Amino acid sequence: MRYAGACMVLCMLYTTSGCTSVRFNERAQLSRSDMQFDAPALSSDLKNQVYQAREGASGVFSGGGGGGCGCY
Amino acid sequence: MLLIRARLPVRFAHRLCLFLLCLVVMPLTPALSAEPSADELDNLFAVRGIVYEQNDGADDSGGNPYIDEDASVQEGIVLLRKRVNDSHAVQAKFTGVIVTAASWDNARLKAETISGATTQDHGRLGWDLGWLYKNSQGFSGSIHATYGTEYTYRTEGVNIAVGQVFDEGSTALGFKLTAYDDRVRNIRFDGQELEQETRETYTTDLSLIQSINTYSHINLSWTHTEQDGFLATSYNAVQAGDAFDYERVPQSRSRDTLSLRYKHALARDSYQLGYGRYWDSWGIGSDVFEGRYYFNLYSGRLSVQTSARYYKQAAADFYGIDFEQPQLLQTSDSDLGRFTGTSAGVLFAFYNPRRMLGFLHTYELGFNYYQRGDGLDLYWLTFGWSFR
Repeated sequence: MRYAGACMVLCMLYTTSGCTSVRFNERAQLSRSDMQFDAPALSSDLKNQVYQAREGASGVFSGGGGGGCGCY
Repeated sequence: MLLIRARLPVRFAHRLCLFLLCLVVMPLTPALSAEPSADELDNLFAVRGIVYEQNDGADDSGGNPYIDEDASVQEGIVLLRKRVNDSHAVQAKFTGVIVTAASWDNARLKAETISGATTQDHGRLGWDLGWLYKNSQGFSGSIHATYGTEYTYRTEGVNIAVGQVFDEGSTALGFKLTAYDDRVRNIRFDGQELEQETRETYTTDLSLIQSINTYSHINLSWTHTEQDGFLATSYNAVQAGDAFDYERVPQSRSRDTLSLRYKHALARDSYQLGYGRYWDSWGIGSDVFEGRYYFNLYSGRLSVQTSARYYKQAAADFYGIDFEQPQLLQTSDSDLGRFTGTSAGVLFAFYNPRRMLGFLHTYELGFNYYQRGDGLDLYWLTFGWSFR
């Protein structure tokens, strides 16, 4: 139940965040390389791998869910 | 017990010197343009390495007090991507890992290391072959096939991802499905090898990126995983009464993660704030808070990314340091216990605007330190080089 609540909070955050359309020619700042959520391919792979190996959780900020290794 | 420390490879030392040299020379050179934004289909050759050290204290009391968890890992990844035409690209990634653990001597006898890489064969090899697609209507897709092998396991996997950009890029939706079919050699801590076991993992990942205004956007994502099969770490031991016993965990696991990230562009720099909530059917729940700040220096040719992260985890229902008697479900794996983790890191990325051999080069050097509340500390050094 509390997770459903968390989902609702996130949805409300999204819907009330004042999201607006940003036209293609206004996206100079958002298109900068440092404004991308996912780091360049291999850098994020390495970091996520360390976190996944040493924490019971997996997939936070990385989209991974376990499996594919001998760790767990 | 023999502690085998990682030694920095000579090639790495040379690369490090080159990187530092670049940092010194760069301010003296005339300002040139910042790194152009890359397309995910562009030709790319990248090499990354990691040197990882894990320490569980002088008396091995960190993490699981019954196991010496000191370890060193050296890993290298090579990525090669080739654009076929305007819409298609192919990609290959190769991974090689060498694990040397403080408990390695012990591991040879008991098959007990941090990653299942045991006995004389303590390496891991993997590859990933992919096809990427993107069209002018904002649709993108990719398919990857993966394979990995280690002394105690073999894995085959497939990853399918699709994405669509709407509203001139203001909204981006992505969906990813990942499936792994793993085979695990069931080598127990006492050296017994039982029948080979299987483990299947299916993960779906739904992601939304939404622009808020011209200088900030958010990323909301939900990841759900279903696992079935042998989910224990075969060589883990549990103190039950006066004797050690096998680790026993449920044959299935359902895992969910919700995360929200916010990114904001300043005039030159940018920052990112993130929160993630994880929970699973084993009773583990965790919260992650993360902040990053990106400095863009020297006309965008040097970027410095600093990060801080806090992690808090509740233990699995069947976790314990020791048990009075054997239980139906039992584990003392410290990774499934209750702990907090604090980490901080810095990543330097230097973009060389002068073409060398016709390519644009980027160099990276990063350092991260992670301190777990249960006494298990680790740090890792990353280095990379890419050209396109």
